[in-house]
Amino acid sequence: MIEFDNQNSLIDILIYIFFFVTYGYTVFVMVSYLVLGILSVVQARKYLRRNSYTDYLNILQSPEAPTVSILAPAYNEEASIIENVRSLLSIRYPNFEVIVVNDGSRDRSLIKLIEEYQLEPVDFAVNYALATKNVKAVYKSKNPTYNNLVVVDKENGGKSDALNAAINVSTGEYTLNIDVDCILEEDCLLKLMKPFLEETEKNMIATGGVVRIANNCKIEKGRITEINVPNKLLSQFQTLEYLRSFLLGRVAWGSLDGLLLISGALGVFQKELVIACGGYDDDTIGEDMELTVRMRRYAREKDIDYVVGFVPDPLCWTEVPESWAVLRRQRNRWTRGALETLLAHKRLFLNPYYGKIGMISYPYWLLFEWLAPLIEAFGILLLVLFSLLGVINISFLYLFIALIYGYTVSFTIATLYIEEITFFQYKKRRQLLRLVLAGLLEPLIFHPFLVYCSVTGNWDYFFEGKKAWGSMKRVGFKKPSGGNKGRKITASKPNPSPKNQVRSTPAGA
Amino acid sequence: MSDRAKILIVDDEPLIRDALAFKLTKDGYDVDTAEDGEKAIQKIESEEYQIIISDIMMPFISGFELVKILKERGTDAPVLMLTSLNSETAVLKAFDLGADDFMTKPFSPNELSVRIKKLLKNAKK
Amino acid sequence: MRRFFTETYYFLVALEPRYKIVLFLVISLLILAAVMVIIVLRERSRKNSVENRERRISRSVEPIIQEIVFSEYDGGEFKDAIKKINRIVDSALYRKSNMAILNELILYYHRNLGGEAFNRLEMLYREIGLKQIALDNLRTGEWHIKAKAINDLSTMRMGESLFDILQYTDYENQNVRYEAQYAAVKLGGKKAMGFLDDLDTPMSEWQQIRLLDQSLKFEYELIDRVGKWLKSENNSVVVFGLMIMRHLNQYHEKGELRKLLYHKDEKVQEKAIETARELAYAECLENLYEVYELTKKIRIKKQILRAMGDLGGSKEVGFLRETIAREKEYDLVFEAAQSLKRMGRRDVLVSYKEQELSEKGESIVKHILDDRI
Repeated sequence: MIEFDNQNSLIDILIYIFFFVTYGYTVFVMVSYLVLGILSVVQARKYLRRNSYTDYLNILQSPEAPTVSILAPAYNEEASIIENVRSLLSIRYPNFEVIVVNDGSRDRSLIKLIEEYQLEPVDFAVNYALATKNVKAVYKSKNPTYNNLVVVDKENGGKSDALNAAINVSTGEYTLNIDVDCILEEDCLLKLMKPFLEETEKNMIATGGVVRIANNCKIEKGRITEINVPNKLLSQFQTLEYLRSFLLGRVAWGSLDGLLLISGALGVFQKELVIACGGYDDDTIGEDMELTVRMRRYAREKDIDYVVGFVPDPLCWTEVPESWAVLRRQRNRWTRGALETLLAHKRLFLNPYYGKIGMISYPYWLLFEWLAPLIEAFGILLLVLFSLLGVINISFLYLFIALIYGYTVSFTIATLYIEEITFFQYKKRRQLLRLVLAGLLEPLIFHPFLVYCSVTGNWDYFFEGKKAWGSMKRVGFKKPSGGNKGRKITASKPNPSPKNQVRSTPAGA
Repeated sequence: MSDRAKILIVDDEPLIRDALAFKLTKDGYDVDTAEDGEKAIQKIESEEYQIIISDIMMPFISGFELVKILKERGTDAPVLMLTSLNSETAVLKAFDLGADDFMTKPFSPNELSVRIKKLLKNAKK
Repeated sequence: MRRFFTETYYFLVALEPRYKIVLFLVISLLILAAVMVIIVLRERSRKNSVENRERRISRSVEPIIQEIVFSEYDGGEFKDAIKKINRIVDSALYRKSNMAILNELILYYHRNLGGEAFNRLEMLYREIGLKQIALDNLRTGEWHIKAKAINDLSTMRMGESLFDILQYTDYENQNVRYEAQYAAVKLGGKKAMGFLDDLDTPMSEWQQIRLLDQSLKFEYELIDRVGKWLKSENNSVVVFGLMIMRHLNQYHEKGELRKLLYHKDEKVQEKAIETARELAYAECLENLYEVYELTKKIRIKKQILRAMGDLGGSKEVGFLRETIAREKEYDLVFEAAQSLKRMGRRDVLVSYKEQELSEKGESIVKHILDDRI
């Protein structure tokens, strides 16, 4: 593939192999994205057709609807906790409870909750089916309007620990696990429960939903009232990334029943199974992915004929970082989280016993999600080296990079087109054009940045032994009328992780 | 004008709001509409209504919360809840919170007229 | 200028084949991207125009429908109104989509309005030709068109199309089948539920809930088919039969219910116990003790303890008390305590608390006695 010297020296052969592998790898990545994209379109179309005449009223008024507990772990969320809980309480579903866990906040979260919802401690016998830090008290409201609200006050133990405590207290058959600062669609629970109720052959153990970006959207009283494309370029890049990841990546994986991750921001789980497989793991960074993988493993090992579902509707809105530094920390953490889960479950790798997840999902993650940025970085380093040494003719390479660029841009625009004909969230023409523009810039700016984050994430994991949470700063939701305009600082707060994403640029340039 | 009873319709769905307004205007009432609980409260603060008809499933402030707030404030006007939720718990909750009457969608507009007459009559006593 | 092109041409021709291929790909991808942007924008304009049309049609049709629904129209006025609507939706290009818009509008009103208004809307639906469109769609459409057509016909209560719909209750496409089953119950009432007798495809829980929601209207009627359903090989039909028994108070077929308490499928078994409890079927208590011993499943045991709380007497109080004292499983102790509370035997719970038999049991009893939870 390159211009050879007169002699066929060893280094030439090595270079030849190197290029052969990287070109081959890149083409392979491109093709796999194309396949995933096509699968997603087929799936989303089927979903939309099936739901064009669905009436959720039957279930909304049914005495037979399964019980669901909404689990909302909160740490130092005083700025928005009241509003968030209110919007959780107004979710449409016939029988659900909301369990807010105050995970040892150092602010006034708990006091605010007690005042607003007229809470008082009750004699709750906590069943520590999953081991957690000590629960200090369980509160219920004196006001019957809030009789489905439970507030758990416990010693600080992190998100996993808080979720486990919530599971221990919950009475529902299913749990909806969310990030407390996410904004949920009113009918998100109905939509997420539907796959459980529709499955007739297999045992559905979990479903995930689509997470979208709330930056610059208008939010009133915990509801999205106007959907906008973010103003900042960095958030626009992430908008494209989330679109590709959820609309194309996960919908396709969902239809293949190959999802390895139900995002911590939004997912419904069968409680019995979560408890049986040990709940969330306290020691991991990517607790959401780890649980999904463990549940799948457990179900397979217990010979349960199971399935994991995915709902293509946008159901949940979240703020993404607007500064490069915060985003870098977030991505660094996601890399480490995914890596940790992959290593902890390396048994799955090409293990036919685990079926599709062993033979397809796991290798895909390993090869494309984890290795791709590393290979890419390595490739770039070598290229610089080679061209400095003058060993290679790089004009073909430029052309190849142009090909990758063209492919990425086309793919992004295809995603926008699919969004346009399916869920159609970004209704303003100018905003759409801004996304197209961001799509042109993304492979040049955002993608190298992601590669950098991923490489440093790997470095930190293997050489610095870093496993703790990075901190995450978020800009508070914009409120049209007064209220909290300040910056909300959320310390050690995990983020919804759209990890199963389709990468913006195939690796190996 | 003053002897015509004033009715406030609270529903987030414009078609139903308009249809109800049309029907009740035809029946000879003064009709005002609000699209959610919050706007309803604003209107009730500035004006006096003889009857409030409210949907249950609305954004921001649900019909349940609206009734509760109204009754806590001591609003005299009877509240008729109108909802597509056909469940016992919804009915119980509505009356528990202080609603005066309850109808499920699909509702008969004629039946609604009769009930409104009755509620107005009782309120006058 | 011309020189530039010829030079470029010769440059391209002179390239190696692999360069040519890649260059070709790059250029075609960029063209593809540009074309897609244009498509997206055109799609957007199309959508906007549809939306505008939709708004215009609703705005002009709405008052006419309101008049039809709420005024005392005679035959002549009704015909005039239909003519008016026909003029609004008439269009060489958009008639089909205009009719679809009108269809949604009428369905929407129909879902919300009852009584006389209801009948008028049905008349309108027939007269304007929407019913015929739905029937045509049912015969010739793709699966989702079929399913939607059935859904429309049942929403509009087109009873006369029941016969057309019934043919689809075991249709190969699940979505069409489900819609047809639902429509059958909605339009044909309990008589049309005969399709369940020999249904061999599974019904999802969602479908069961929908059918139940429709069936709740026959609350005080005797549904003699239930016996057949309880004997079905199809577990989803059995569960549905149990739901009907429970929610529609069908007290007959208790013998069949007793057999189902031993059913090997966990879901059926659980539902059977629940049904026995809801129907206050106290004669089966002996069987419940037996099942309690036989089963290892916590869910089943929980259901039994709950049933004892509703059906039991002093013997069961003893059993429940024993369970609290001896059982190690949290859920079962909890359920037993709750049952005692429901039986009104707070005294048993209080005395248990005072004796301080076990720490775990005690905290659970405290929990149960706390009425605020």
